[in-house]
Amino acid sequence: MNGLELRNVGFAYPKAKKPVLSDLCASFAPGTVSSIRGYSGAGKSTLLYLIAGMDRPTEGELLWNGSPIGHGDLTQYRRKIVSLIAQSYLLFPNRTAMENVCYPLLLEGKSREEAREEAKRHLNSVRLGEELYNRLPGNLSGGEQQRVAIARCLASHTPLIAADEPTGNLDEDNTVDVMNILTSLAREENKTIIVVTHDRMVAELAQTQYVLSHGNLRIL
Amino acid sequence: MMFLKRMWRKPLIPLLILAGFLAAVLFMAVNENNIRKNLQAIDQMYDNATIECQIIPNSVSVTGLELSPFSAQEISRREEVTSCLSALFSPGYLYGEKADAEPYVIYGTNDLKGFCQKMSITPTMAEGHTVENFCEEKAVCLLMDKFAEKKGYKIGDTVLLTGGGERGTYIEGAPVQELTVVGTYSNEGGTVEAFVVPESCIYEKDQQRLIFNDDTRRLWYKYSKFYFTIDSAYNKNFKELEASLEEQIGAMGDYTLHSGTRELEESIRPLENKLELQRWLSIPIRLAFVGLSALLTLLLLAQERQEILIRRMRGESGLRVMLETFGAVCLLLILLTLPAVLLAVLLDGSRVMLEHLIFSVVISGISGGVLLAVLCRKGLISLYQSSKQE
Repeated sequence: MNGLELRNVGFAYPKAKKPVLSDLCASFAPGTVSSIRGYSGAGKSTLLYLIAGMDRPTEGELLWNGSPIGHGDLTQYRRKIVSLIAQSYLLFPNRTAMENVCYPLLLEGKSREEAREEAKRHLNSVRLGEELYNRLPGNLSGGEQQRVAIARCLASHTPLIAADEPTGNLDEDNTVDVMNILTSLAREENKTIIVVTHDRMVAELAQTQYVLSHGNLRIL
Repeated sequence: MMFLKRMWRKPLIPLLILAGFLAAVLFMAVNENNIRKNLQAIDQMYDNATIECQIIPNSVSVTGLELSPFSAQEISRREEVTSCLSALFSPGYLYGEKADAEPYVIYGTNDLKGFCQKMSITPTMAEGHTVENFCEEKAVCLLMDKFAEKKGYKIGDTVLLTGGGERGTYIEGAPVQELTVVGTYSNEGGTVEAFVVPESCIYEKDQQRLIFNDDTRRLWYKYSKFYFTIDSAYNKNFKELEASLEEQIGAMGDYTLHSGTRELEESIRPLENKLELQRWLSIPIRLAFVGLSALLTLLLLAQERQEILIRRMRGESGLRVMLETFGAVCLLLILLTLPAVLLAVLLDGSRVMLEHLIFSVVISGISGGVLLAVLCRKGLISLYQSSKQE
């Protein structure tokens, strides 16, 4: 199948007695926003770390478009397949909004001019005002920072976006706004977007909702 | 370049590192200046000091000992010795006078001018005779003015002197010296009635000597002294010189060397102690400056944690991130060192300052490198979690 598939995925932290996740199975299709909800300590963040390629599952495997990931170097998976949107925005603190978005483009080997042109398009698509392009993240509001983070994901050209509580630090208006951007991104750019959240309202804005409880992932 | 650009945007820590480097250079300049001043003061004290030494014959065993006037001459031949003064002692009597009292004191010297200064006496010389050439003359003497007055001696008179024993006995058959009075001397406070003669009268081999038997020799040994002064150029190395002099003096006979270095040592010691303290205190302070720059570098790199996390999350290898960041930090440290080097050159700084700056950069670089290695090898999950907690 296309998209991301979890096949009997389990994970235990080193020195931990019990695994955090075990035998999880799920699939996330392209062009959709899926949410994973669960109580604190259920392991939803750990699952997101595995999806984001920060570590490998200790059991089972993740497949992208039917091919197992993480057998070789996870850096290639992180560079080409997945991007992360974090609750704390995870922006370069001493780079401007424009430089943050240019970063993956320059990494791809684009010229500075090309990168700037494309970054402008992405910043425009997340509705960030041009006057904010040269501001440092510390001088932007939470909603603006999250838009920059989404624009950087767009500039990464990765088909999979993992979002860790992307609206956790935002007010209601900005929450709806960010979720709308993600939904339209999934639809228009055919991205597979997985949102981990504890917020029921945010979870309900996604097309597919999963609940992680007692190590099991079930679809609502 | 992006790294330097980012540092330019948030320059607090780089500025603190720069301030640390500059402060270290200033501290070292002040400290070195103080040390230099103290060294100059010590040198000046050594230069201005006159070390006076005495060679005193021991009176422990005298029988069979040769009188050794040559000790003073031997010592005075050394290039480290500037002058050597003999103050030789001999007991004696006026020939023909009944020896029922203490013998008179007869001083022999090789340098009347030096002797007068040393003994605080003021000579009055007869016409045709000088203080300078007194010791080159044969068979002359100076008399103490009060003694001359008492005995009725005048300039140009002749006195007959003969050696005597310690016990106040006139020795029959003792050699008699016939001396012309060429001057007198006053000695305020001096009570001993005395003669001053050239040292040749005391023990010159071809003459009738005042010192001629064990009794006179014993007194000669007991009271005679040789004074000499050290060339100030050798003052600093006097300990070594003293050992060498003692060796030479010991080989010449039964003599002891006394040196007047205590005052010099006492005045120099506080300065030397201060100098030592300055040298020792500067070490922990310099180390503190090195530690400060290393700490600030660590702080700078701790701020780079998010940068490292994002780059690794974006698929850059940990090694690449580490090497690039390390190179940029080293470049920054070198750039920050340049103004400090310039300041050191302007302050006429020593090699120690430059070594300190290099040492600071190396230690800061190494500690930064270690932290970078940890951050770039750390698991992404824990790096991400710690970034969330900030």
